[in-house]
Amino acid sequence: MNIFHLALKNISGNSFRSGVVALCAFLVAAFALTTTLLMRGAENSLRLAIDRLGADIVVVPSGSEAKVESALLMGVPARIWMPQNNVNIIANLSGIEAASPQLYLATLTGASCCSVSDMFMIAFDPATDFTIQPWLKQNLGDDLRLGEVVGGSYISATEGDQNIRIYGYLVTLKANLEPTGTGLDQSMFFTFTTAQDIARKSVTQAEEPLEIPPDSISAVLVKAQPGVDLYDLSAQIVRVVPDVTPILSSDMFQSYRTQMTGLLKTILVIMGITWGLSVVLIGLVFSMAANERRKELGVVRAIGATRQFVFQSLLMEASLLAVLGGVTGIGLAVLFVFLFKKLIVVSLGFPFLLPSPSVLIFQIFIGMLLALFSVNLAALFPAIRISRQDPAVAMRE
Amino acid sequence: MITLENVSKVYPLGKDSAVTAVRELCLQIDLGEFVIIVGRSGSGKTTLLNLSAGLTRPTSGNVIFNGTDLWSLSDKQQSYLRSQNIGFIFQFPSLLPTLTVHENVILPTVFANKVTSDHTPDRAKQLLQQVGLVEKMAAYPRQLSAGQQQRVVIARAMMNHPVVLLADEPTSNLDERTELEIMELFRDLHRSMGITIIMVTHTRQLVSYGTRAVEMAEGRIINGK
Amino acid sequence: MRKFMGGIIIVMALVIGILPAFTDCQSQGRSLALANGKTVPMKCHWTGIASIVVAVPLGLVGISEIFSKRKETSNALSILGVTLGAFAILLPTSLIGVCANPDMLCNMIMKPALILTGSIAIAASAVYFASSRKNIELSA
Repeated sequence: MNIFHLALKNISGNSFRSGVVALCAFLVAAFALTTTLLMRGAENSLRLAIDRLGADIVVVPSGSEAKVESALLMGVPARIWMPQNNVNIIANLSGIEAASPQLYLATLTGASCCSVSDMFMIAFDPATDFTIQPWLKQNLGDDLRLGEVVGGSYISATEGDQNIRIYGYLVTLKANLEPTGTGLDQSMFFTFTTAQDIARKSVTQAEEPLEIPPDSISAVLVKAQPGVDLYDLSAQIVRVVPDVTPILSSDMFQSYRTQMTGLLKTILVIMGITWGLSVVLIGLVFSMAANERRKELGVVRAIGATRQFVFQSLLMEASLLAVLGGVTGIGLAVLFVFLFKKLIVVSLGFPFLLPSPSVLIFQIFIGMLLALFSVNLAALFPAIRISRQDPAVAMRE
Repeated sequence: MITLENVSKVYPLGKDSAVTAVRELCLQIDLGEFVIIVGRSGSGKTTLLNLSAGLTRPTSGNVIFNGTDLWSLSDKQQSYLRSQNIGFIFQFPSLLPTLTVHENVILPTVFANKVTSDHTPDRAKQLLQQVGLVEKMAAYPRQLSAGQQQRVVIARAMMNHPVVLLADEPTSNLDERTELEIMELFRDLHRSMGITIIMVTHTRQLVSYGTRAVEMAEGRIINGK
Repeated sequence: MRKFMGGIIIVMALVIGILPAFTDCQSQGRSLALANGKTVPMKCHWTGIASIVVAVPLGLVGISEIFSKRKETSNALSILGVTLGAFAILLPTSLIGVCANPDMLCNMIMKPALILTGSIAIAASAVYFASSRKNIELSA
């Protein structure tokens, strides 16, 4: 028998009290982990989305910045147009390494000719593209042919093994991109040629035709030469190309960042209040327990326990309860975030991606440390008080 | 064995008041004695017992245990001394409710660092046999009567081969028959093991079990110094 | 502790039985149109129906756990609890399934909720089993 054994016995001797302390530890750990998971997850997701874009600057029609961000981040389809010639003007500017146009399209809502409703689609020009092509070369070893598409991580074939119907046109899903936690996971990518082919055939095959205004594009992705000042480059673009807004990738999704920061600040405040209340409640419970067990602890001192032993045994009980509550809280938090990540994205309105296993383990470790620290902090003063008490006084009525 | 030299104990009650439980008391208890301390409630008997074991610090005076001034020792040293030399039997139910009878009996060995000894389980069983409760080893205190609990406390008190047993009104919550059984047990322990016993009681009829009686009133010894 | 676990299992049973009715595609007014023009419910609806078949005995297991005292009964209840919890997980994942589109309510809420509640039911049954062993040894 040792201090650990004694602590376990004391914990199981009063289930209600132990349950309250464990519950507080549960809340602290679960809340802390959920918050850090959301924060890191959202940040990860944004970073991956920007990396996936691959561009230093995205040039879009003026006034459509919010729509573009919504489309790329949340998969809400955007239909925006600007003259195709803009890409030529931009490509000729000094400091530009590459400029590639993209078309933003969407499937029909609830139509039988589209097997996926309201899906955001991006068409790219293989001749100038520098974002999708490198991935294709690395992962498929080949370019996309007519009628072939790559999908985000959520896209799957709905017609047979490999096909998806868009505007009555069967495309072949060649591969899926890695997840980003953003709307890009529910998007499809194909070439301009495929887009034009779908548009042509949709006139007869679809409930409504896919309309691509002639000589129009939705956005221009720009890669700057190394060392070029992107703000200067943006200013140049605005000077020479009318009615467009260049968005720097570092500024991309700024409105979402602001929204995220605001929401996370709120969550942090709630977490702070929960933590404070938990520590106070645990302190009260331990104080009550110490008072109730005053005589018992006096006896233990009388038969040879040192003050240090009494102090350590109370903190051992606190730590065991912290571990019990913390492990349960963390387990449930991870399970909840993992299972409900789609609901979280939709409810909060910003993207989310689970962190890598090593980052997750680190966050779990921090969550557990916080639970241990909180419970021990709360139990500290009652433990000091009761361990210092005169055994004779402790045993008195 | 135990010497109290001009020991006083004053308990503060508030800002301006205090109660003197023991006044300039001098007492010597020798090895092998069975001392019964009698007196009315509030005469200072329990305080005297607590002072003898170092469970409370005297306001003035010295408490010498086997030649050592108890209050010259650190808490760790005092606690170790208690675990090695003193067995306690309290008036109130003092078994730990979350431990079994067996676990309660071996508890003193945890503090004396003797729990890893091979002899610990054997000794516990032997002591429980001696008090007639070996079949209740796995029971919890709530499953025992008051008399049975007190016998387990006696077994616990004997666990570390103490040189002195301190008993604070050990029979006050028991019926007459059980009280006599407990007193017989004390007498047996004193006679067979030569253990020193200091027992506090308000029942004068029990004085005959001891080798010496000491009477207290108002914090002083009035008889049997 | 055992009664508490029984209570948890009852709550999980209620969630498993009731939640799918409000989160399948049928409740959102969506069904599958066949080639012959008929409409039939999507498979998430059948998962919801099957969940009720799991929820009812699971609820009875929870109630029995609160009142059970015998070792053999406790063992049986624990095994039943674990099995039914496993079924709650398997129904939306492999036995029947839900709609493929991640945006649909059955995928966003019903499936993860069944997995979570099934997991909690399994964990509660395991804790009940462990604490039954201890309690029964004590009273022996």
